Amino acid sequence: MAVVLGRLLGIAFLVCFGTGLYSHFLQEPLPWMVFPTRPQTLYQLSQGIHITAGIACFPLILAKLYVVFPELFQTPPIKSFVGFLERASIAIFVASSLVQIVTGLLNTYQWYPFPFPFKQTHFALSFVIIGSLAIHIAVKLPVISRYWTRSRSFDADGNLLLDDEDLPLTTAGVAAELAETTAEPVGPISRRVDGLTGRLFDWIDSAPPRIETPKQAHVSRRGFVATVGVATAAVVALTAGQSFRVLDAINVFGPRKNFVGPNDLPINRTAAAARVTDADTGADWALSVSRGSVVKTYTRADLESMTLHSVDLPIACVEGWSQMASWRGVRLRDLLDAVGAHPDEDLRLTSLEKSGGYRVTEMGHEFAQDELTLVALELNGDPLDMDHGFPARMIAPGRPGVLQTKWLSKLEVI
Amino acid sequence: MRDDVATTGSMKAWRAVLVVLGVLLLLLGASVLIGTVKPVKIAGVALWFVLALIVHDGIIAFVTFGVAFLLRKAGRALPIAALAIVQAGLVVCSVFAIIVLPAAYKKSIGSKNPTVLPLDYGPSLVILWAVIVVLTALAVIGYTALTRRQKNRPSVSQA
Repeated sequence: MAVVLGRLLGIAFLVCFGTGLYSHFLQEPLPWMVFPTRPQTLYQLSQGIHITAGIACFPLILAKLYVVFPELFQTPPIKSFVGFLERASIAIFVASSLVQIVTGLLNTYQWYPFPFPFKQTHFALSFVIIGSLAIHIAVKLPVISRYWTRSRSFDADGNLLLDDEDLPLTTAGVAAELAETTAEPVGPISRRVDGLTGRLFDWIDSAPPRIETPKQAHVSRRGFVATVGVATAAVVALTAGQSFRVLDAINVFGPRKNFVGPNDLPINRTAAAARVTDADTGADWALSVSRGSVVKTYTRADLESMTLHSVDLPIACVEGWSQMASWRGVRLRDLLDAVGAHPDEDLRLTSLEKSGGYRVTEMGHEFAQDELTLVALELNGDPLDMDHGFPARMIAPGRPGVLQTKWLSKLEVI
Repeated sequence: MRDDVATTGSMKAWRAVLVVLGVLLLLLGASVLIGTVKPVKIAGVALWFVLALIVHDGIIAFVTFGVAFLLRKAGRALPIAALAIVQAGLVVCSVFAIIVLPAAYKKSIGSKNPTVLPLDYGPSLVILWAVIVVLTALAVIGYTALTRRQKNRPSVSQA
């Protein structure tokens, strides 16, 4: 059972790790990195999967911990130095996994009641978790290999085949073993009853045991797996609509809902939160585009008079929600051509926002030169709402929402 | 044969590779943490680690274990499949509580803007719980009726 659940949880962890790394490097690329711009929903897919798999981890990890719960009380608690290291690594594994998924979930509500920065900690803990997972797999490899396949785990009648060491000790078993190994007469063996857990287990043991037939054991095993499956499927089904349109109708518990917000689109950061005011975006506003000493400036009216293009691209947020939207605006490539930019030159974007980690960002040439990348002026048929980045914002395929800079003020070819 | 699997060279090699990889990743994680997070905030992470273990191992696990045990004791008269159905209902209700209650609470104290947490989380959770209770009850009743019918007319149902 632990192997069955561990396998699913391990896959979910690796999926989160992989999609998380992709998201991280999109935001903080190494110098040599170039990213695919198609399919344009790539980031919606990768980050939607990241968040959905993270939510699926809740029932899976709780089930997995429930199955291995008795191990918490192994006696003696520490058998050897290696045993101590193993238990310590498990404690770090469990603690970091729980902190990771809980703070990750709270991040999707934009709620930070914890005394550490989310982004940096989430990134660092991902390595701690995958490292602990590798060690855990190494320690348990014989057990995992032993119970990996159905044919090794069950006999022809569907009974679970347990190795001798996996069977619980019985008083009779211990007496028989002692009688074999010692010449001394063995007196009556009683379980020591001390401490809370000892008394609890004694109380449990004193209850007449319910005798399970193999068929009944099969039913409770199957029931448990089915329950975990139903719980996982249900939490995914009722929240994943925030990332995937097909499930929007049953998005009852997602932190975001498609079409809720100005221009029928949710908002991450409002103009007020970014301290962008009407004075910043009024008649005096102009977008400057530069390459070295060549500088061109465009008012909103200038941009509106250029050739406008319409594209359908999703806003796909790091926090997992996504929505496809219709944008209309000037093709970024046209603005770059006007200042003589080369196709392999990257771009620095500056926003009017007063502060924040994404006020100034960079865009690789693969995105800057893409025909779908627009300096958008309209969203879903109406002028951009102030909270969606009026007077002009960037929209590019396959990029996280935080990099779709709102309230643009400067574009510099670098 | 099982012992052979556990002690073969390839298994030993795999275990060594995994341990080395794991230790390297742990060190990388620790260095990233130290490099990007202030020491006092790292203490905050450590505090949350301890809290996570206390909340899970000390509270959630004991409550779950206790409920599972009491249910087993109370449900002796029930067939084991019916018991499994009741447990399943409880588990699904609890998992949703863990995921949705923080959203309901955060919504009640106010979110950053109206498009964050726009849905009625609390009321929807109560409705979902009611639906699960009804489905669980129907499943138990249906299962009990089915087994009784099969018991009463064994020869007919197997003919």
